[in-house]
Amino acid sequence: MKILLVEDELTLGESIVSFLRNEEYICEWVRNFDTGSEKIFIYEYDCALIDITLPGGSGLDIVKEIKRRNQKTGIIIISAKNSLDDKISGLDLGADDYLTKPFHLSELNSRIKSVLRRRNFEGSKEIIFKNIRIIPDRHEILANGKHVNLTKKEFSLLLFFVSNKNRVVTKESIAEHLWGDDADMIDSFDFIYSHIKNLRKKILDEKGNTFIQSVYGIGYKFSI
Amino acid sequence: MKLLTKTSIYYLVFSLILFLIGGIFFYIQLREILDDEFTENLYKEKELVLQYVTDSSKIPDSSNLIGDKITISQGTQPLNEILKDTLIFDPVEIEFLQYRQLIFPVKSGNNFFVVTISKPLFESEDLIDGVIWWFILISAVMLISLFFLTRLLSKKMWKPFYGTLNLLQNFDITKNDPVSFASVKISEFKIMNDEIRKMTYKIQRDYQSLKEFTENASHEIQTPLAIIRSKIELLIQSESLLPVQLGLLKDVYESSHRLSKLNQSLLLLAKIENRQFPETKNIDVKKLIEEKLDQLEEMIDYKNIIVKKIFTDSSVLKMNTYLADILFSNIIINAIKHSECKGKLSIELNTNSVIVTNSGLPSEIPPEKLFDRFKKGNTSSESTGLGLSIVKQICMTYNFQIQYVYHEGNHKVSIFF
Repeated sequence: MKILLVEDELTLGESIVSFLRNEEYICEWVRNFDTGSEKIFIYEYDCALIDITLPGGSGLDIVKEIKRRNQKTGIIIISAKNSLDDKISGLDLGADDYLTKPFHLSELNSRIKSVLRRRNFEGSKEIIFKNIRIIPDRHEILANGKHVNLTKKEFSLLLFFVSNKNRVVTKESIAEHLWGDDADMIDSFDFIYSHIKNLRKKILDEKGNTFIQSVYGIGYKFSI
Repeated sequence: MKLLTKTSIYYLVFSLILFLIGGIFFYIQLREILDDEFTENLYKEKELVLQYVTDSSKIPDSSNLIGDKITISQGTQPLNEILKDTLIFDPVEIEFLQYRQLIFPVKSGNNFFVVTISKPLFESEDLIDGVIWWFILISAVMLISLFFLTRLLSKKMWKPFYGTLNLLQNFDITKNDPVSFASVKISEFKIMNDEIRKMTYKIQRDYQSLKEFTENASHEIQTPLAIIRSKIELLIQSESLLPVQLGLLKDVYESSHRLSKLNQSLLLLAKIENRQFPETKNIDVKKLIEEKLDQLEEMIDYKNIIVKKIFTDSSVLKMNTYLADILFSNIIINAIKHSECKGKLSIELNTNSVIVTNSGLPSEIPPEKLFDRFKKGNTSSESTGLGLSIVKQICMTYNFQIQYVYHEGNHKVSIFF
């Protein structure tokens, strides 16, 4: 999977790139408008992460250009401008998603996976690990071939874990993923724990072990 | 009261007073002049009579004298000259008429005569009446025509002022187009328009730079925070970390997270204060509340809160979508947060109010300070203490009334649209 990152902020770019390479994506990173436009002119990408405020121009113009050249590229706008205008115009131009800085890398990961899943019609639409099969389009999950009843939030949580498997995801990123802006108001993470407890109970491996481990109060890790 | 009405009233009152004083003065003056003239005439006639007596050495026959009534009677002794006003019965008019009489002695030979010259005063009264009536008539015509003239002139003169006023009323700070005035010839209005143009330009520019500042500040602060967070997220993936180190990282991470939330909330508050959410849409309150309750279902279930919805009537509010979302989200989440486990939460929706009631322990914050910034019951809690300030700020933006009471174990937040 090839990903283009257009982001002018050095340290944030470095974090994203090292994170994406860890996830075994091929990631190219450019830091201004001109090189960004150049890249999309020459290459095709599966997904592009584009910052709006760039030296030399607006990321929205790059979005426009990508949509004009290659419909198949998934686009996620990343911007610190928490303004509704940018969000609306970005999505109007054909961006698949919009992420406001600061974001959790695990959230970015989950969004990229979701965009790729939606874009990649030829590929498998199912996620399978061990005895569990997830069909995201139908919001369905099968454990040991048996249908498991999950609430919408539990399903979303599971998908988030699966997207970030073998990684520690923080409680904050889980809360934000599930409740968005409302997560700001949550002052106790206890009920996230109760959520995870429920999810754990519902999906166990053949031996009855859980896939989700807590990591020293900082978050949780989904591993197989 | 309109400027024109006020000027007209002032004009009317002052000119009426002026005309009245002028009229009275004129009347008094006229009377005095006529009065003096009369007396003078009487003395002239007296001179004539005396001349006649000296010249002809005889007393004139009273019937010989035309005009004023002169009576001559024989007197016995010399008497002093008398000038007086008196009423004399007129057999023709059958009424008493006012006369001025001059009575004086004449000596012819050894005889004394008393001459009485009576001059009717009603002639002068008629004259005064006539003059006064004309005066009133002319005054009235002048008053009325001047009134309309000044009105017309004022209207014409103040026209640029009203044009400016109209432009100011339609002035929108959030829009970037400058105020454009039609050219005026009156220099005061020209100066006023120039000053207003400069002022509005400055206001718009300040507003713009403030807006840019909030956005830039957000950008500048959020980015380093994002970096801190992402670096920690990368770091915690490391397998070689010791539990102690993870614990330290957790604290750093949580603090940076809180700082980020705080920054976002403060910026949101600033943006609401600056009226930076001008776009409005019709918001169905009932639908929005249902949506919010749906989103917060897990939180409600977790605390085993019993939710009671009393929707008697739904209202449609003209609000910014984002702000409406935050407003209802914040009051509902606040109610959930401060509910005890297995508590009760009721949301009452009427045509012009929303009342959110939840059972819970009384707040440590005095009710009047509840909506202040950074007021929170539990200082160690994760919340920013800005949630209700944001609610209040949104309410202020839309002129909603917000009210909080604690009554019999229930927190009650009411918003009146």
